[in-house]
Amino acid sequence: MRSTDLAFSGFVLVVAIGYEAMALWMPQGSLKFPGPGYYPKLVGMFLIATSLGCLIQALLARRSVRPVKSAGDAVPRPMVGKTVALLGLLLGYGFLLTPLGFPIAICLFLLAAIRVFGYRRWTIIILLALGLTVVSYVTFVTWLKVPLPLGVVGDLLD
Amino acid sequence: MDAFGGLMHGFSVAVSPMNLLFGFLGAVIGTIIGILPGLGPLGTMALLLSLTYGFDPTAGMIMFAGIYFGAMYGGSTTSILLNIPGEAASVVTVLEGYKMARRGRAGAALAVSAVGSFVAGSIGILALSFMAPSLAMAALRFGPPEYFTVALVGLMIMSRLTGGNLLKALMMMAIGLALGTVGMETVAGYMRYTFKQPALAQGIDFLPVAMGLFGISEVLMTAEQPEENVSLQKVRFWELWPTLDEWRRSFWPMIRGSVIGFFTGLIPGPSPVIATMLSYSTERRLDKTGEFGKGAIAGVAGPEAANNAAVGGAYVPLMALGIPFTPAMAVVMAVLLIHGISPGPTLMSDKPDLFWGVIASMYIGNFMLLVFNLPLVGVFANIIKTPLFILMPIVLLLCLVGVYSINNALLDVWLMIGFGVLGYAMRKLKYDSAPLVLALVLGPMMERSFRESMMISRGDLAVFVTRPICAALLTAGLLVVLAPPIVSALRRKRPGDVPSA
Repeated sequence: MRSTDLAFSGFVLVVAIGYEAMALWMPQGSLKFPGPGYYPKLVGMFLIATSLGCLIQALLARRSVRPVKSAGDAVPRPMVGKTVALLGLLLGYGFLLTPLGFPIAICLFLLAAIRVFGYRRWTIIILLALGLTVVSYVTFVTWLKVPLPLGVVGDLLD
Repeated sequence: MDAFGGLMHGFSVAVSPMNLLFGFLGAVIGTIIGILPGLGPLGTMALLLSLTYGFDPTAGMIMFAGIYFGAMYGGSTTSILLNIPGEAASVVTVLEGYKMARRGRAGAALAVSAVGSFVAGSIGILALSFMAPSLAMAALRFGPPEYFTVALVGLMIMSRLTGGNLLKALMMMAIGLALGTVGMETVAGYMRYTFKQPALAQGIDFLPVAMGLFGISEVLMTAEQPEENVSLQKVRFWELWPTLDEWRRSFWPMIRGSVIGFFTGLIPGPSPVIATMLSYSTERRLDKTGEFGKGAIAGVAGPEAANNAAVGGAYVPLMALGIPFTPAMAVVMAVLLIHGISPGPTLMSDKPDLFWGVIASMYIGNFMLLVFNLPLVGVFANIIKTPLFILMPIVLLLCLVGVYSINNALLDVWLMIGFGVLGYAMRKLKYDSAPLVLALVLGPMMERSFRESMMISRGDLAVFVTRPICAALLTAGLLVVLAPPIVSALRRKRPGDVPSA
């Protein structure tokens, strides 16, 4: 945990330095008439200071605490595979939304997401995914008039 | 006509079967909209604005009050049940409400939230009736330096909001402030951190960030848990309601939250957000049970009351001066303007029927919310008992569609997914998301007021301490932040001073 903490603070520090550098490129103005870069410059300094503080804190904590391996640790390991699969599904939905359209993209997403959460019976999975797609389409597209991309479905409707 | 007589007259105008029906309809629409993330009360009211052409103004105002209060309550429902804050003001509710739900006390949290909202709404409306003109004049004394100080004090309180690691909270806050600078800046129209993406010109909206950090990260965390670890505590039907002890522990937080919320609501900008933070930090400091961080009912009752009372407070400048301090109030004002009514100092004397009718209509809207929502507490609380393989995909579905509906832009979907991953990492590393989200909400107001203050004062930073309201606010903020560690340090020192026998 300490090394990931260190990596995270380090990552934020790098981003903070980049943010500050970009702020310094913007027109600064003066304290009388602060320009567009004045406030981001201050925020960048604050971000650098706090991320540096977190980095030092994580470094100190790493030095003071030596990890002890316990043989009888029975904490179940998290199933990271499911998280990665879900993340892949979310990214897939993002990429497919415009070309395939909302109804198809969300239906495919739901089919896979229900399966990822451990349900095995495909008939029920398909019925659930189709049902939720219809309900969400009627609620958001028909009733609330959210202009979700219709993709190939829109072409077919035209 | 005195205030009490006026209010009674208002009720005689507002209470008719048709107005009650409109109030109920508004509460239903508002609650549903609040539950669906994305389309907030502002969007809904704007959508329904054209409908009010055909309404009597009082009926229109009753319906809008129902929608506004209903959306506020609906936003809290998803915060408590699913860890998704539908509104910026619901972020604080997530902190204790969701933990209560995980402990099997979702029903209690929802019921306290509904009653707290009603109590606060009632107190806010009474305060509005009796103190509107004088308070409105006080609110007008707020200029850019005061707004900046309010935002600064908000950030000071936020740093100690959840009582975790201070440095980590400050870093999260800094990230939130930095995110608030993305987009076209308002004074010179300069593009900042947009990387030539036109969609980023309007800045990063609060909702994709909040839905990602809270909602998506929650689903990702749940997915990796073995199923037996995720199952929620089974509760019997009668256990859905708060116990007598829970009601007792919620009473004073509701009252304190109402007072804090009403007075904070008078301030322009994201006042409900600041009100909920103030209320939460007050309750946390007063807590003697040690429940905060584990699902404290006072941490739901106080902020929920503050959130609703702030809405009452926001009506003060609108009704007494004709100045809407928040975008939602601007839409409410539009309802009145559509009917040729200009709210302002003379409204009370020129059109007492309407002035008092509108105030009474808010009360009816609030009451309808209670009537509609209390019987549904059990239904809502049972949502979290839905099997995970159905519930989690539905949560994702709501997030994916809701976030798109904010600006009808795919960018928001990507932002939400990105912040979902960040939120997941932050949870693993014990970083708190709330300071980031709240700083993102307060950041733009802070920058705008800072730059305006500097222009007004010709670069004199002393303006933030020499103006009486600024000085008072800063002193109060410093007291809130510094007093507890000083007091606890003194307490620790005291036993050592006295030699033990």
